[in-house]
Amino acid sequence: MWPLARLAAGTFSSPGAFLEVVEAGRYRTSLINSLVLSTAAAFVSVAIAIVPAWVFARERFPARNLARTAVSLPLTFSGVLVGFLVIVMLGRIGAVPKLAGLVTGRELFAGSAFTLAGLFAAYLYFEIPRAVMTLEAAFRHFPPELDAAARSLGAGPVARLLHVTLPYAAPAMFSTLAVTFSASMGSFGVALVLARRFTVAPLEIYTELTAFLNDAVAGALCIALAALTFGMDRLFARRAA
Amino acid sequence: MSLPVSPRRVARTVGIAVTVALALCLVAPLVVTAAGAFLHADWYGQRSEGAEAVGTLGLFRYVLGLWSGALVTSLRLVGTVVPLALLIGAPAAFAFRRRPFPGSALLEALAMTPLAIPGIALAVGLLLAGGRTARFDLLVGGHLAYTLPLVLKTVSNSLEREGADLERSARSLGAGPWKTAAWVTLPRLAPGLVLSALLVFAVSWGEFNVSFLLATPIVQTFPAALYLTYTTNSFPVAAAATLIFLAPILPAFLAIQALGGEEFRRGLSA
Amino acid sequence: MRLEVRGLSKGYGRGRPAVASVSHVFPEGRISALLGPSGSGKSTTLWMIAGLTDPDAGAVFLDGRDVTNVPAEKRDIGMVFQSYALFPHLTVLENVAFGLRTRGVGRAERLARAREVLETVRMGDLGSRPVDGLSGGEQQRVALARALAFRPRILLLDEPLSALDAKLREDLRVELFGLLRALALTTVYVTHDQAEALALGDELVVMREGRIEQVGRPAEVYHRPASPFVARFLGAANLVAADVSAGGDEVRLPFATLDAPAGAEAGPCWAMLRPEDLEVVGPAEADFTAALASAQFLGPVQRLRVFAGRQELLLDAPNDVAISDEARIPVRVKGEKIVLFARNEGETPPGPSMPPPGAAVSSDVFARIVH
Repeated sequence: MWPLARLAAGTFSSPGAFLEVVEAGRYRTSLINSLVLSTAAAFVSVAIAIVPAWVFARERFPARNLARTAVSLPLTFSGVLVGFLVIVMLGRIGAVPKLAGLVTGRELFAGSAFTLAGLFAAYLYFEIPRAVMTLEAAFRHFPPELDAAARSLGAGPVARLLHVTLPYAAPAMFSTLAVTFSASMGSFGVALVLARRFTVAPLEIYTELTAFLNDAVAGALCIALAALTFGMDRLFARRAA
Repeated sequence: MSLPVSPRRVARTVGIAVTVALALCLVAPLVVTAAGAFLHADWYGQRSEGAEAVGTLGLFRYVLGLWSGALVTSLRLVGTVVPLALLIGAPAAFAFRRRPFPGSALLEALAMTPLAIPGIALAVGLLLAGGRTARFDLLVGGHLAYTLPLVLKTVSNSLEREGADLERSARSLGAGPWKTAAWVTLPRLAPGLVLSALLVFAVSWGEFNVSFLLATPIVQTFPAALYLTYTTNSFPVAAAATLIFLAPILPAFLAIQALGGEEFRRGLSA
Repeated sequence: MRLEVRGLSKGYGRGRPAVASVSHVFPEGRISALLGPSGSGKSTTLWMIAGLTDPDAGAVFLDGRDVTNVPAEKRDIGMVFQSYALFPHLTVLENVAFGLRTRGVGRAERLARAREVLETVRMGDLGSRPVDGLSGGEQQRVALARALAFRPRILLLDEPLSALDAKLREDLRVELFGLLRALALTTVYVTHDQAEALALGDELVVMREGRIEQVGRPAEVYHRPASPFVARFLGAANLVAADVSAGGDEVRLPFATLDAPAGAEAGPCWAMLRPEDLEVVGPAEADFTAALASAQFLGPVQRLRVFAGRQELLLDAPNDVAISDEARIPVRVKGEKIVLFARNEGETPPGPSMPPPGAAVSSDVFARIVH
């Protein structure tokens, strides 16, 4: 509890820098990059998570526990680690290009780890497990008679998905969106490892702080980032459970 | 008009296939990493430092030699944070849930806020407030900020699930408040406390934001060292370091799964 | 719509199958009550009729057409679930209109029709409400309206009243049954409550351990149960080990000899007498005497627990009569109410069945415990 007070003291010592933050191109770009990437990653990870979450919640199959453990494993990983794993797979000499080279003769995706797509993939890597676990819990509480009722009323599988399952899961999906979004907005380690040719907010904050010793700007960026995160979070939370 | 295979069967199979594919995709990088840590160093076209032969632990020994300081720091940190978090968080949760006092709701909400703030912002705040020096207690403070909410949440959940009924029965049978706490509440909470400890351990061990920002070559945690490895050393060394980092986490993770850690997914930040 | 099931079976792999070869033709336009204890397979059978569970074997026929492989959504049945299963994200009206929506009816029309159906169940003015504020009784009515809105030709109900508390259940039962009768749809009503089944059904189908034990009109099944199980499930029953005389004309019970029903086979048997078939009379008219053990005041009757010799019996006496001589109560067996079941030598006698739920605790029993 008391670290909070110190934090507040720390970040609120820089009023004048706000203007700089909003106007200067580099800072604005970094904030926008963060916002766009995080939002996109949140939606995509939730979308990808729907099917596995449903399967985990409702179906029984031999490798279920194993698969579930595997999917939730990345939850424990530090951001730096995820960055490294992305490089392992998609770096200049990563596994995917090597494999592609063996199969097709061309090393596809080499070096893509350091592009926006690479960072995006990293975000997905630690957000999808979160999304799957959250959605699975929501789906597990889905009353089975609801689906049966819809069938008895004449709804085919697609209709049931659209009119019963998804609306029921909507609150849970929105809260998942909020959580995944926040996670990637604040993630520093990943950005440090992967964001070479572009910038995102946490990285800018870091450089301002350490390279330029520009505490004021760093602090202002922090506040801006926090505000953005909080704002989007509220947006999602309004429709969440 | 009967179908050879019911559409439901097909949907189920496809769903399972997708899920398994996802699991494999998520595990693949780890497999590659593990392979890298044991394989011949020439795999990536350059001789790696400290590698002697294929399949030996030479790489691991090298990493340990290089970063032993960071490892020790991390262990010290975790060793401090876990007990502290439990000692502060568990009684706090108990107080909030069982004996609410005026302002307790506010305190609780305040304690939970670090989860809502982007990790980097928290780290920056700590750095500025602490005067840019790498002090151990600052690190502890930062870690506590992340982990106290976890403990609060987990223990609160346990308390809610157990309900106050058992405690009331104990009181009616003549046990005073301390005895009740020791003989009734604590044993029932034990799984929740263990889960909290594991969660705190996992978070603290992997915490990067605060640790990196406050790091100097002398006072460094292992995740920070990991970053340096990624940027300066070759792949096999980095792979070995990664595996060393993961070694404590994996058993902790399995234990958390076994104890039913749904709180887990909410608590971690990257 | 004519509903028939043939050889329906379903097992879940854990020993005894849930449903074991059930075959029945459900009378058209009538209400069939599927009655049985939990685990008897009645709900599973219903779900197989609906197409929500796939049978391991057997077939379902609607109007002579084999619909076993037709998915549930195409069977055009209306179903009311035990938990009502109302869609929480839709209003009452939208819930009721759901079955019309899946059939492609336009928005204005389906809402109008939904409103009509809601009127029938007396929920007309609650249409735009969300679902979660509704009471149990209201939810039940909405569920019913929803199942009826698209005019199905078969109505299936899975223990629709069991989620309600006792008083509400009784009140709603009257209303529900009136409605169902008026609809004249082929209806299958699953319940474990024998009072409901007796009151509602045009036809009673008693199930036990996955099989049909007996089928008949309620009165028939009640007065002429096919087995001790059916006898005791439908109400209190005394089962006494007895023997039929060689000539088949007399039944010899331990405490009395009575006329045997027509066609009785000589040999050992179980004689069933319901408490209401035994009456307390003057000494001259008695078939036997019994000693009072305890009395429970049930409201409409007094249920006496008596011993005729060593045989324990339950009998119902008028609720305003005091028993004068407790040690020697004269009892008469009414009319031809005795029912016989086969008995094997050496079978242990099943005790008299438990008193119906809701009976007051006997003060006499208390007295025995306390002293």
